[in-house]
Amino acid sequence: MSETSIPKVTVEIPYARTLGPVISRFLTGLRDGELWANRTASGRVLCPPFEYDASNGQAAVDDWVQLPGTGSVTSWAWVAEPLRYHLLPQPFAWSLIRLDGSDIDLLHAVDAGDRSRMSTGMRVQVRWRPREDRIGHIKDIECFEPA
Amino acid sequence: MSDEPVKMLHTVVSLDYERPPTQAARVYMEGIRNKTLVGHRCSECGRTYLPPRGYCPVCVVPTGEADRVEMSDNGVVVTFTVIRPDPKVSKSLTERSCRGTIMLDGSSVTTMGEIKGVDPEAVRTGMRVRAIWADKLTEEDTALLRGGWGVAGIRGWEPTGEPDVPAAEVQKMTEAAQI
Ligand SMILES: [Zn+2]
Repeated sequence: MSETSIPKVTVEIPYARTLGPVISRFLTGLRDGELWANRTASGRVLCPPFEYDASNGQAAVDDWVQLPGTGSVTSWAWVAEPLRYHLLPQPFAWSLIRLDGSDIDLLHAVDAGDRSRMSTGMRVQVRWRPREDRIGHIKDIECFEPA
Repeated sequence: MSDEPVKMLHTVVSLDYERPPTQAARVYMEGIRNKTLVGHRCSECGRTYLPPRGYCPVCVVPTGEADRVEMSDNGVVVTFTVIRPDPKVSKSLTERSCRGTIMLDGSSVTTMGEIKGVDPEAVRTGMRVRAIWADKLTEEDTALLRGGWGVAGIRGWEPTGEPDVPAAEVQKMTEAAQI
């Protein structure tokens, strides 16, 4: 390392946290290649599932509904130069995705290849990682892709 | 491959820093290469800083070459903790060890490091210690130094064998250093 180079320091903090029944069910589903949403007392369907209904503070009820894995992009931001820990090595769009059957948006990556293929309202579908790579993590969904 | 429900989330928060070394960091680094601790002494309040920051955060004045001061690599343990690694949690730490906060002679700041050469259970506040210098700086030392992260190049601290500093005096030292 020369005296004039800029030093790189990486600080890493490993976290392990228990999930609780709601997120546990969601991530177990991802591992098994299934998308699950939960229902609130007022009948809203949440994917990602929540322990509570953010619109009124009520606890979610133990009522689950499986979603098909297709949806629409409601908002997006193009990432031209992905960073080391991003989901995809190639340029992609961080997107809010309204899954069919859900009343809220899921944040994930959309692999559209090129920014010009992205648009609000576009239809997308889930792309799973191979079963042997899935561990019960949001990254078990590799990304979404144009449907 | 497990079919059990997923109960835990393991995740790593990783932060990459890139920043050019300041003049103060360069002076400090050069000192470490020569096994010397170079700090700054504030011209207004007299507080010393190691590593030098290039300013006194109390007086909000810059410090520079004129404020350069060579610090002692001997000091006093002002507080410490004995680490007893839990084998269920730690894979890298297996042995009991002691980490101490050391106030260098003639300084008003503390530095942290492992206290070696003594049973961790026998370490005490007021114990006189000296730096164990690394023979050779590793790449990690260099990265830490250039980033201004703490006291690199020192592998730990060992008792000098001198009599302990009395508790009341340690208390006075730490009170005087309070910001
Ligand atoms: Zn000052």
